[in-house]
Parts: sequence; structure tokens; C-alpha cells
Amino acid sequence: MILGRSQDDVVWKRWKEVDAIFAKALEFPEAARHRFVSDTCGEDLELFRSVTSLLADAEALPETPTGPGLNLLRGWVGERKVGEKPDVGLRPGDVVERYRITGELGRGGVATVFEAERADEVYTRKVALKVLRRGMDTEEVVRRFHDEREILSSLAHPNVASLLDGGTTADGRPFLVMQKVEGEPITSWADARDLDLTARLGLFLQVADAVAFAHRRLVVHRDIKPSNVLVNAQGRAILLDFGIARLVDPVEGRQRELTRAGSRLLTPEYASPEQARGEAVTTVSDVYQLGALLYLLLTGRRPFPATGAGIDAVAGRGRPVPPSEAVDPTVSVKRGALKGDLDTILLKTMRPEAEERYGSAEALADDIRRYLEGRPIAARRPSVGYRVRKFVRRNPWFPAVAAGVVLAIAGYVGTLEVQSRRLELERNEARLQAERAEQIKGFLVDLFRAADPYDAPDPARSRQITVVEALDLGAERARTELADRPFLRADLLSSIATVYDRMDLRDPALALLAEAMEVRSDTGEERSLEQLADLGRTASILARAGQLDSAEVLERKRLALARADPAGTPQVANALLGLGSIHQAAARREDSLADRIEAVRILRSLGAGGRGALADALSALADSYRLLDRLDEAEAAAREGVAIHRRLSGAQHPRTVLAEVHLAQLQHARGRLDDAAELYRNAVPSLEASLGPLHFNTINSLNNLAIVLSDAGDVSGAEETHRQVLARRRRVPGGDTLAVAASLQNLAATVLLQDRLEEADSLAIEAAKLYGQRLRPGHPQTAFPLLTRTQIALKRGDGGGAEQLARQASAILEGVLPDEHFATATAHCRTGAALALQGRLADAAPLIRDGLAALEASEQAPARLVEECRQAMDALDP
Amino acid sequence: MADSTGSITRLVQQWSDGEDGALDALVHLVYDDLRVIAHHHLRTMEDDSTLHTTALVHETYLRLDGVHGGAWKSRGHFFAFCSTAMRRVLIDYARRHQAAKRGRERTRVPLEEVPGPFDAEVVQVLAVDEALRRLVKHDERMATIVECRFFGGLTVAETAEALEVSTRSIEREWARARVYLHRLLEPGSERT
Repeated sequence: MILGRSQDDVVWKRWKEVDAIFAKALEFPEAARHRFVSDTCGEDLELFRSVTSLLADAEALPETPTGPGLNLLRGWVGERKVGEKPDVGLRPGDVVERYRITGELGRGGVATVFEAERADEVYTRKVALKVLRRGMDTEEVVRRFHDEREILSSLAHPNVASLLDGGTTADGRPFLVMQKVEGEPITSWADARDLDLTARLGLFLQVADAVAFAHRRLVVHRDIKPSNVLVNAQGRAILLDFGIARLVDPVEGRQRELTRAGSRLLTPEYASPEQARGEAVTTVSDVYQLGALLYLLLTGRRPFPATGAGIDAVAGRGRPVPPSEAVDPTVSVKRGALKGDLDTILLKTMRPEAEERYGSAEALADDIRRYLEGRPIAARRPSVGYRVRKFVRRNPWFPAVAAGVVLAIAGYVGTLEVQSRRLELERNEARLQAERAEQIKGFLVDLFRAADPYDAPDPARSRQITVVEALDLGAERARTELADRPFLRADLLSSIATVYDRMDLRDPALALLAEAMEVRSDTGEERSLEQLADLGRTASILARAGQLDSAEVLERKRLALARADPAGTPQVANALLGLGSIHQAAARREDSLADRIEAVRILRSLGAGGRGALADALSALADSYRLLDRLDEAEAAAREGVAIHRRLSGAQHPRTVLAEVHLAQLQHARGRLDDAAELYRNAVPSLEASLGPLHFNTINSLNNLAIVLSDAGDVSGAEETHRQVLARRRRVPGGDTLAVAASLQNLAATVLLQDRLEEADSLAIEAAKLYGQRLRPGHPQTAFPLLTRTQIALKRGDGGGAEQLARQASAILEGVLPDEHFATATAHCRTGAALALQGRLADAAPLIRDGLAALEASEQAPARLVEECRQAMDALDP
Repeated sequence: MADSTGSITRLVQQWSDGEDGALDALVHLVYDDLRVIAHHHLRTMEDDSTLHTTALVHETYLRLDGVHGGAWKSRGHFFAFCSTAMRRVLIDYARRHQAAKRGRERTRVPLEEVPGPFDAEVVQVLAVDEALRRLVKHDERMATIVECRFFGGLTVAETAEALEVSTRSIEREWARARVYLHRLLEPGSERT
């Protein structure tokens, strides 16, 4: 959509009207402006667009001028000289760092996209080079650009156009280099091939899975539409421009990193209502856009027609027509097929109220898979969220998961209570904290009381939705009902943030933490222990999201604040531990070690009060030593940690046992297999007693034991243990099919080591079947049963069968993993072995040779696989 | 300068009464003074690439108020006038600067005519002038506010004082004016 300068003429032509509405709109808070303009302009789209474009500019311009007089201008237009054309001025043949421009692909408001190739001819594949327009190259934008680039580069997924490189042009404009996708927009691709309903849904699932993948990495797409989803000749859907909208939106950086859409970047036909209103954009906005895409894909029509929809199409629109009533007769999807479940799914996805939609792209994908498998879908009306509000005071029941969350928060509040006792204020403070804790608990219990246990077709899924929605509601209630209780409000918001974080919902967690810290800053509690703790939490989330520099800045701030406070000693240690983790993530291992040694020293000096924290710090210290290969010291630190836990909590306490599991992992890595096995054997019964036999920590320890036994050459012990793991994973309620498949695969490999070929084959086939149900075709895990079956075929002397299986595995792995990865190398090696078995030695030799080289170079490759390939090599040349 | 005092007082009065042409005549009269002051500033700021119009206006006020004291209703009154005058001074400088730059390619022009530090802002000054010419056709008051803020280097409070309206009202109009100005300065770009 073109929102900007084409409205200029209208602005000047209809000045009086435009300016009057613009002036009034500015009196509203930002979030309410679009609604106002929309209402006022009615059907007058021209007027609406003009005012909207002015508002977008008003919001994009810096609030405070950077200086008096002529300096005012700098803040508005960056370093750009007035009158200079926004054209980035690159022509075919020009060279930008390592790339040579070969053509122009498109020109947008924020960037121009060129086709380019490597100028140094390292490879000749064409890439898309996106150069940001001038005027965005302030220091702040460049810094953000750098941060975001790191996140985007972590989005390695077969259905996401990858970010390959980036840099700065000679005249200082940032640019990104992205995979150039040759393909057709998803909708026209599907229509041109007359795809049926199932095929269309399959195509869409590729997109939804890619979006879910990105959401787990904190990247919101914001602009999902057919032209951003291309399908290549192999039928693979590839998403373009992930997170770019945020990356290039200069408004963003000034808003505390909260995700707010720059309204001027919207594509109105696909924008969610909250985006159009300029409100916070979350992963759920992507869910809406996925819905709009699916709607178009299934019906051939946009959910909201471009004509006549007017202003409502942008900000305040309601629900679309049910897709079964909208389906275009030229699309090869039958109206009747959409009626029922698909109508329900799509309408839920496109609910105007964000909290009524699926909680995640994954939940949407799951429901479509349920539909495809003929199982009942989770989307039901009225939704759980609806009932949360409707029965908010009625039902005294609350589900197990919700109760768990309350306990987690209560526990956290309890910790706060202890930490917050300052010597001089001990009694007052303790009473105050206890009161706060009580209020928070009451508040949350009240909240979860709302959940309705009935009508939940999929307990696991709907419980999760309940919790998320209840948390959103809780944050909202904290803001309104505790408006005059800032301390309590801040604590509650950060408690809710903690739960979000535990649920891996980092964006909302960060937003709430920022809000909590701001509340405290405003009320002079900037140096409180709670504030320090929230700084640490924020840093830890950022660090896990890979934003190490930002995380480090926050940790250092916490460290400085804690050092300035005589009662802040434990926080000094905490901040040092936080810094240690950041250093470790940044591979600065010596720095990490130094901080952890210092933290341990401080915690030791605190005596009995810091013992629990000391034990955790020792685990971290052990990790640092291990990474530096100082294994004796690592073991000593880990053992001391275990001993402290044992004294504090007893031998059977899960904390003690999990510390032992850590020690076991260390011993496993050191090759002290007997020791590791012994530790795991002790840990498992304790975990069974405290956490239960089906708890994932228990099962994982058992699984680790099986792998240790296998490494130690105790094949029958390993098989026995794998069987236990498999049996337990099958029994986990609402079980994880993928975990069951992994166990089947492990068992197949172990059975194969004992040359029980028939049995191994049927286990591998079952594993493959389960992977196939849960994973999209081409997922790397689907290659592992194929590799096992290759080995089985080789042992049977079936060269042709082995070749076929190995080539299938290779094709999958080559698509997603680098050739140097040991799994890919093994696939190549086994393909070679299969060829050799058929006497095609000349074809076999290069595959085995290259595979072996990659395996020998890999640090991760299990010795067994290297040895196997070496034997294949020897067999070639007796 | 002293000769003109009487006429300045009269012109200020006429300008205050809203008489056509009084402002032009006034600017013409004090133009040389302003130019001297501006020139002095520009020459002493050679290491600084930024033109501080605020300082210019304040210094002009100190110098001229001493001479024409009593002619101005208020400090704000003078500031408003001074902003207009400074706009012309700066525009003249910018034009000459550009002409000199073009000329330099063919013939040498004495450098003292063209103070150096101005360089990067010459284009901006002319562009803003042009933008204001367009803005004034739609909203005269908004254009005056921009003139005060931009050429006079006045703060929002000083602008309010100069135009004898509330600060809040200036804030509101300024919020829009900067958007229009920004748009007038960036013509022809396109967004998708």
C-alpha cells in the first residue's frame, strides 16, 4: 500500500478538512488516533489516507528537537540533505562491499531491493540486496539494525528466506543480503496447479510452521501476505522479509523495544485490527495475518473486500464472512468442505479481539493437523477466553496447571520476601513484603478461579490457552485496579512476566518487565532489590534471545546499583553470575570464569544465608571450568555444589538430584562412563520418588543413562533402558509423539548393533511413521530412521535397497544441514557403501572419501559413525 | 543607525497596527545591522559547522534594543520581527554562497564575501524558505511559528511570547507545522 507522498496532493488540495482532522487526532493518545480518524472520515478514503499519512509522520518525527534553530532540521531528516532524492543511487555494475549489483528488483518506502551477486566470485548464486533508504542511518538505528540482524541470522529454516549477510554501503546506508527466492506467490501457485483442499492446507502448514519457528526466536513477521510467501519449483513455501518491518521502522527504537507497528508500513488488506490501531504487535498479530492468508488461499477471496470496506477495513473491522460462504467458484475447493471445522478455525484465527484468537501459530497449525487427521479440533465457540471473562466470579474450581502457576509465583514472591529484608528496616519491610505477597496470591487465585474446566476437547492445549489468557487479563487488571498502588502493580507485572518467560513467551515477558521497571523508576524505587532483580531477569531473557550486548549493558547497570547499596551484596553476586552467563554465551570463557569465581567468593563470605545461591553458582562455575577443559576443577566445583544441596535440602530433594545429574553429564563428557552411569542410576529412583516416574526430568535421566551404557559398550543394558524410556514416554498423558519416535529410533539403533535386523527394521519403520505424522516432509529428524534402515539393508546385502534409502536420507539432510554436518556425511558415506556393495566402486569412492573427511573433521560425530565410514573406506581399497 | 531611530519607532508602531509594508520597511532598515552581527558570528564560528541562530537573535536584541529602546512593545514582539529579518539575512547569505560556489568554478570571488561554516546548511536554508513560501499560502500563522522556531531559533515559550498566544496553542500548531514542513522538504518520495 502506498500511504505516503501520493497523499500529498490531497493534503494540500483539501487543506482545511485535512488539517482540522489532523489537529483533532493529535489530541488523542496515539493508540486511539486511528480509530478517531477512521470514524471521522467515514467512507472518504482519500481523506482518511491523507490524515493517516500525516499522523504516521507525526509519530515518526522525534519528539524533542535535537537543538535550536537550523539544528531542528537534523532531527527530522537524519543526516540527509534536504532536496536530495531518496533514490539510493546504485546502478547495475556498482559494487557494494562483496556484492555486485546486477539489477533492481523493487523499490519500497524504506528500502530498495537489488539483485546482486558476489563480486569476489566465491559463488555465483544471485542474492537480493536490500539497501535502506537514507535518513535512517542515525546511530541508534544502526545499533538496532545490528541487534536485529543477529536475530534474523538465527532464523535458519527451510521455509524462511535466509539472511545471508549485511553491512554498510560506502555512503553509510545499512544493507541486508538475503536469499533470492525464485518462486510464485503462494495463492497464484496453488491456483495455477488447481491444488485441492488438502494440498492447500499442506502448503499453508509449511508457512505456519515457519512462523511458529520464528516466534520461538522472538521474531514477529508483521507483514504476512501472498507476495511475501513464495513457492519455489520444488513446492516449498518460503517466507520473505521476516521481521524486516520492525527492523526498518525507525519509530520502533524510541519505544522501549516494545513492538509497536509503524502504521505507515501496513498492508491494510492483511493487517490485524490492533496493528491498524497502532497498538502493540505481538505474535498473535501474525496469527491473524496467517488467517487472512489461509482465507485467501482456500476461498480465492480476501477476507475483507478492497472495495466498499472503506475505513472499517483498517482499524475497526469486525469478523469476515465465514469462508464457506465466500468461496470463489473458480477455486478448486468445495464450499461444503469448508463448512464446519474450517469455518470455525478461520474465524477463530481472524477474531478482531487478539485474545480470542489462537494463542500461537503453533496452536493454529496443530488444529489444522487435527482437522486433517479427522480428530476433533480445539477451536470451539465460545472460547476459553470468552468464558474467563464471562464467569470471572462464578467458578471456584481451578485447573492443575493454573494452580501450578500460582504456586510458582507464590514461591517467587516468597523468595522476594526473604531477599528484601534490609537490616535497618527488617520488621517493617518484612511485613510489607508479606502483605504484598498475600495480595499477589489473592489476586492470582481470583484470576485462575475464572477458568472453566468443562468443554475442553483437548485438555493440554486449552489449559495452556487458559493460562496465557488469564495472564494477559491479570496484567490488564493490575494496570487498572492497582493504578494507585505502584509498588504492588510493578511486583505483579514482573511476576506475570516471570511466568510468561517460563512459558517461553519472551516478548510479552520483556514488555511487562519494562513496564514494571518504569513504574518503579517513576515512583523512586529505582534502586530497590525488586528493581535489581527485574534488571537481571530482563538481561537473562535478552541473553537467551541472543541480544548479548544489550543484556550485558543491563547486567552491568545492575552490578553498579548493587555495589552502591550496602545491603546489595547478594545482588552483586547475582549480577556477576548473570554476566558470567552472558560471557559464556559470547564465548568469552575466561571472563565468564572470572565472574563466576568472584560470585562464588562473595557467596561464600555471606555464610549460611547464601548457601542455596552458592550451590547454584558452583554449578555454573563447574560449567566454566568444563568449557575451558579444566576438568578436575570442574568436578570439584560440581561435587561441592552437590554436597551443599544435600546438606540444605536432603539427598532426595530434586534440587540435589538435578545437581547430581549435572555432575553425571560432566563425567559422561569426561569419558568416566562408570561414574556417570552410577550417578544416573542413583538419580533415577530419587527423581521417581520426588517428581514421579513420568516427569520429563526423570525420563531424560533414564535416557541419558541409556546413552552412557551404549557408549560404554553395554549394549544389552542400553537396550533394556531404552525400552523403559519408550514405555514411559508412551504412558505420558497427552504424550509427546516426537519423544516416542526418538525412543523408537534409539531402540532401533541399539537393536541393530546386536544384529537383530528384522526387529530393528520394524522399530525404525514405526519411528518413521510417527515422525511423518508430526513433522513436515523434509525435516532432518525424518532422515534418521532412513539412515538406520540403510544400515539394515547393507547388512542384509541389499545394495539397491540401501542405495535408495541412503539417497532419500541424503536429499533430506542436504536441504537443511550443511554438507559438513556429521549426519549428512554419514548419509553420503552409506550411499557410497551401498554403491560399493553393487560393485560401482568408481561412483562410491568420492562419496565415501568426502564423507569420511567431514566426519573426521566434525567434533560432534560419534566415534562409532567415524569408525564405520573408515571401514567402508578401507573396504574400497583392500 | 541613529538617523533611523525615529523611523524605526514609527514603523514598529505601524507594524503593530498591522499596516501593510511596515514590516518590509523595518527589515530593510535594520538589515545592515543584522548582517554585520550575523557576519561576525559566521566568521568566528569557523570550527563549528552549525549556525546558532538563537545566539544571533539574542545578540541582535541586545544591540538593537539599546539603540531603538522603547520602540518594541515587548521582548517577544521584537523576537517575532527579528525572526523574519533573520530569515532574509540568512537567505541572502545562502544565495550568495551558492552563486559564489558556482562562480568559483569559473572565476575567483573574494572569500570574505562567503563565510565558510555555513556550507552544509545553505541548501537547507533555501529549502526551508521555499517550503515556508508554500506553507504560508495555506496557513499564515503556522508559517510564522516555523519562522520563529527555525530562523529565529526561538523556543516554544519565546514563540508564544512573540505571537502573544498561549504556549499550549503554539505546541499544538508546531506539532502539525513540523509534519507539513518535513513533508514539504521531502517531496516526491514514495512509501509502500
